[in-house]
Amino acid sequence: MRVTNSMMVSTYLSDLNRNAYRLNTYQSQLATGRRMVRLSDDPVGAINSLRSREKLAKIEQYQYNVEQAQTWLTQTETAVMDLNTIAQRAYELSVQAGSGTYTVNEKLAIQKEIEQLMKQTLSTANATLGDKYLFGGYNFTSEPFTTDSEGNLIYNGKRMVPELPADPTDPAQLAAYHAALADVEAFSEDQRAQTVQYEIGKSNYITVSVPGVDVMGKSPNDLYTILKDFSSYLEMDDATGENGIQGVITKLQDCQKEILATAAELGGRQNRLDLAANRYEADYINYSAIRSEVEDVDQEETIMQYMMAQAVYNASLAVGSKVIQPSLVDFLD
Amino acid sequence: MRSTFYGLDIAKSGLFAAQKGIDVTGHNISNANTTGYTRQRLIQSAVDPASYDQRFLPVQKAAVGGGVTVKYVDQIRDVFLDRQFRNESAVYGLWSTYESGLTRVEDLFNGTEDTGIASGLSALYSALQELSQNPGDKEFMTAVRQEAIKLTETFDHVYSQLLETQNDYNEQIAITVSEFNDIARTISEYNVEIYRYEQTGNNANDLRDKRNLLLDTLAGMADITYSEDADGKLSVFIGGDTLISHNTYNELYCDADTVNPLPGETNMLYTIKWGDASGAPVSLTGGSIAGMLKLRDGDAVDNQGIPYYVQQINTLAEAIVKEFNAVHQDGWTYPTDEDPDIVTGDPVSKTGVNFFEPVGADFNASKMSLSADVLKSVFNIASSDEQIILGSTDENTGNNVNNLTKIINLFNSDELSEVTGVNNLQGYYRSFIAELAVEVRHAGNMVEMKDALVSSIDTQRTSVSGVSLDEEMTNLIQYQHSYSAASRVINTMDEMLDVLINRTGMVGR
Repeated sequence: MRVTNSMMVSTYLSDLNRNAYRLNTYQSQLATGRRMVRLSDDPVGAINSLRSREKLAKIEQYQYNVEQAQTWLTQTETAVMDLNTIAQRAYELSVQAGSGTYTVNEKLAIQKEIEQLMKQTLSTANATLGDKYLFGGYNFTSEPFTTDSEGNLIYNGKRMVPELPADPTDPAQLAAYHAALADVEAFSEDQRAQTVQYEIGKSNYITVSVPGVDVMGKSPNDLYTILKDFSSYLEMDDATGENGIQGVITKLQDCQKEILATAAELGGRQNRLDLAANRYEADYINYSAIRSEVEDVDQEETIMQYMMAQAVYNASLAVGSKVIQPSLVDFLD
Repeated sequence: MRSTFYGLDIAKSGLFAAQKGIDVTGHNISNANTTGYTRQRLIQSAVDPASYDQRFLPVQKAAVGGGVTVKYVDQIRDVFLDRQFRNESAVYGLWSTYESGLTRVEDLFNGTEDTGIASGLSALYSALQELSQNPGDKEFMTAVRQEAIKLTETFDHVYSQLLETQNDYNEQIAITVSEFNDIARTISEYNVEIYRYEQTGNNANDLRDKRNLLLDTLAGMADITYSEDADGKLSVFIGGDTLISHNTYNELYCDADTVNPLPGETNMLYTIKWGDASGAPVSLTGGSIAGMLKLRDGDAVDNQGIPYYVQQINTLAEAIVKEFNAVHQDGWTYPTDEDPDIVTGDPVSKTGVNFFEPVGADFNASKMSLSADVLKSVFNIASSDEQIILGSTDENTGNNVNNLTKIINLFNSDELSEVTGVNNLQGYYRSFIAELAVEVRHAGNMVEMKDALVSSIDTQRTSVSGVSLDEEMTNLIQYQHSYSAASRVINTMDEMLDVLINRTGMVGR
């Protein structure tokens, strides 16, 4: 092949340019710490990186959801255990009061404590997370448990224990009482359906709420009503009172069992959340690794390549200054 | 019998030829760096002995030629390489224009960055999740609305950038066509000059160089073919139609006669037509103009121009609007004073409310916006799947997040069907990005390959036609020596004649 001067210059220039370009590529990779600057640098990698970013965003969201669910459950568990403590104390008091050895005054002292426990029960059942009520079903904004003027338990505006008929023999009154009971039952059923669920995975929901209507036990055998009855039995210093207190003992035992069952279920849910949290932690690391593999620069390798590119570039500059200059002109006199 | 001064004539012709040779060499050396310059060569030949064609002269024994004659100055050029170079230039022009356009599109979708549609979708997803944990909370509803507005703005931004790019190429087509016409006109002018000059029997080498350079440029812009007839008249064609016929040329012109076919757009696009009476459209399959046309008009999987990507964005936007609305309409809003019942004036839970403004005629991604209801009040985001009644009691009936959960599921679902072709919102976006990235890479590879081919042909061309200073210096020495040698011959003749004239006939003096 015939070699001409302009050919040498242009070939040299395009080669030099390519070397400079390579040098620049590694330089920008090192400066940004990113391997891929454009999608088309590595289409498959770009998709993997997009997918892992999307996954990471979802995992982060799920991790956040799990955390929130854990907070909710922890708060719920505390409240439920508090209720259990109250039930336990009431049980102890009922056993003492039912032993038949206590005087009226002693019973009245117990009654004072029971009244305190009743207040405590209400405030515990109205526990909040931030400014949201935990046991209100879909009612997050106002106290779910209140009492009317006679001290009857009201849940979300509904009196939970209907008035006993004044005359149990009157069929009309009896029918009205049963209707009221059925109404409360229907209401409770509706309230139980009001659950709060958090998404902790793709179409994987965990119920964080416990049915508020049952948290103190099912009415009329709920803790508050039992305590209220207990309190009234303590005032009666007669056989009805004695029998009533005996009834209260068993009722409290059953109620405590129910509360503990709720607590056990909450524990189970906590375990499920812990498992999910661990899994997401592992997933997060995996997807971060995938993303990093696609997007990030392998420092050692890139520095090596950069050094090599630099050496080649310097060499081509050196060669250029020798090749371009001389021609026959330089050797003629 | 030889004439007395015959030898002087021979030597003189040698002197003249050497001088001419040095001139040509000088011209070559001076133009060593001139773009498009083709090296020239002196064509000389020996002068036949006088008697060869003189019919009535006696044939001489040992006839000697009459020295050298300069025939013409030739240029050394390989027309086959020219043709190859120009064919490949057209392909290269197409791909390099296409690639640079696609790179601009790619920049808009740089999905590995933390901005853009992908992250907009993720942000909306997170906001919805957080709202689902805090139903009826204005703060979180506002966050959802803001993220949704951001998403529509991102769509609008990407869309208008794409449209702007399309418009740029439309304008650039007009500019390039006028440049093209200018070159065609200049070539036809050169044609006339070259033809006139060469009729005198000389080669118009330098004019041809200039014309060749223009042909190279023209070939990069359109897929031209050309031929030169025996008389040296050059014609240039595009797809069989004549662009230049020796001294005349058929101008191209841009007619803004086509409405942009993209939905909701009304701007006019240029059609390139022949300037003669036929007014027929020009069919271009190569060159940078064809690349721009492909970018401006390409709307199919196997012809991916800007409109194709606009369609993808439109489809995704339409899917988001329709899917969101379909679910959102089933839900119930939170009662609010901000948007009470028209008749009673009381806050009321509503159903059938749209989240986005419904898809109308000529929908495109820039028309994506939130519905008037949601813009009026954030409480019009329908989280619940049953009517919410803010009771006179403490109970809020139906304040659940079941409908919100369904909306969130749109991001996870692989079975969306409302809009054909979009089964998974983020997946659709991803596959579209993949398509774009692969196409850009393909175009990049084509450019690299064609670039290598074109420059290799060009190197071969330079190898044949370029000036080698070493060679020219060698020629220079050669001509210099032949000049000296011819002078020496004259000297010798002179001495011989001196002897003959001044020293003969001295016998007996």
